[in-house]
Amino acid sequence: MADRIFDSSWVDRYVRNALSDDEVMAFEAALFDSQALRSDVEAALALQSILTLDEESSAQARSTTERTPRRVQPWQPLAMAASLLVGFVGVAMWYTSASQVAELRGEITELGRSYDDVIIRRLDVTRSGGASSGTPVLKPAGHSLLVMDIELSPRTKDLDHLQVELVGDNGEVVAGWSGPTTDRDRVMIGVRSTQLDVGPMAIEFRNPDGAVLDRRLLEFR
Amino acid sequence: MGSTLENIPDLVSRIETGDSQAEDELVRHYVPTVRLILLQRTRNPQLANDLCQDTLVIALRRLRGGELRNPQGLSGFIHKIAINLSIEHFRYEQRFVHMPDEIISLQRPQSDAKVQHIDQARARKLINQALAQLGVARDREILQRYFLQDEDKTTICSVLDLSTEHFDKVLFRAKQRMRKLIEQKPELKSVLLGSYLDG
Repeated sequence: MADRIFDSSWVDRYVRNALSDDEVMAFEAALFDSQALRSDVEAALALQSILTLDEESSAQARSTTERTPRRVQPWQPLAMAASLLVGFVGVAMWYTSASQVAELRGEITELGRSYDDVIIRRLDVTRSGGASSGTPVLKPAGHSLLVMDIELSPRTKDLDHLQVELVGDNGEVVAGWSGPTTDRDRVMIGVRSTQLDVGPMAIEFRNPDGAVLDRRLLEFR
Repeated sequence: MGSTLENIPDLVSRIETGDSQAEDELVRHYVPTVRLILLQRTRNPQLANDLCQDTLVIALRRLRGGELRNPQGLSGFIHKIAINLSIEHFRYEQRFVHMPDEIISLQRPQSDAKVQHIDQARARKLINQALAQLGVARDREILQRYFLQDEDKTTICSVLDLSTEHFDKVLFRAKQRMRKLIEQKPELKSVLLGSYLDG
């Protein structure tokens, strides 16, 4: 009976959050009684999910093409889109302000999986010697998220757009981010603990043409 | 998905007397629906799993205590607990309070065992297969406008110069294909919607 009352337009409006509160209650009550209706809702939610992935992937591909005519790295077209794939490839997030922790939480929620811990680590420029080097960073154990809150150097802070790569000791790019900067002179980037090995790594800051402007050495323990 | 409940008053009565098999029956029957509702409300598979579990724990505790006076209202009783939990979750969501260099513990450490078993290449392949089922670029645009950009059917048809029949056809076809895909490929369903087995 519920199937006859609640047709596909109800299903669409339900997943699009276009029903009134009373309608949602009635529709959800019907879900308890109808396997067919549940299957319709699952299909619509799955469709919405796949469309979101498609849109994000296209947007990222467009952004990469328009803004980075330089070398193409295999991970780049996938980086942001993959962050929506429940973190399969890795977290690629870009934050311009340490005060955006609420946004960070939202991003983590959107990724569809949560972390045991989130560790935020400040990485400031060493005033006396230019860029800091050999700064040890605690490698989070288990399934955690390490967020690095990085102060930009004088050479990078005036750029409108910046690309950052986390490079392993063997020169392999572990993760990459790309995004706009602000006048706050700091960026925040996130990386999953499972992507990190212990040992030395470097964070490279590049301009949109791909030139390395700054390089910070890190050591994960 | 979900077993059928033959005799709800009897089930409720058995739960009140501490029958663990009756509790299992209730959980098996209600998990799929409760989780789906919570997934729609939270858009977070892991969170939906957690809230679903909490819902059933609270429901069982209250049923054991004889709090459900009308057994025929069992679904409504569980539905209300689920809704209240989801509302409460978002009301008290202030989980992230931090200072630089501080470790932040999430309220509920979670894992996604099911997803971890689907490797990256396999997940990408599944996603690509599903995308290929959505039709040509124009069809995808129709679907994206409708499902992601909250544009209504009339507006989309007007802007894209479509007949309503064509719109309905694209929508119907996409949903049918997706339904078939997630029925045939449980892994894809797990990637897109999470899994009842997660967490």
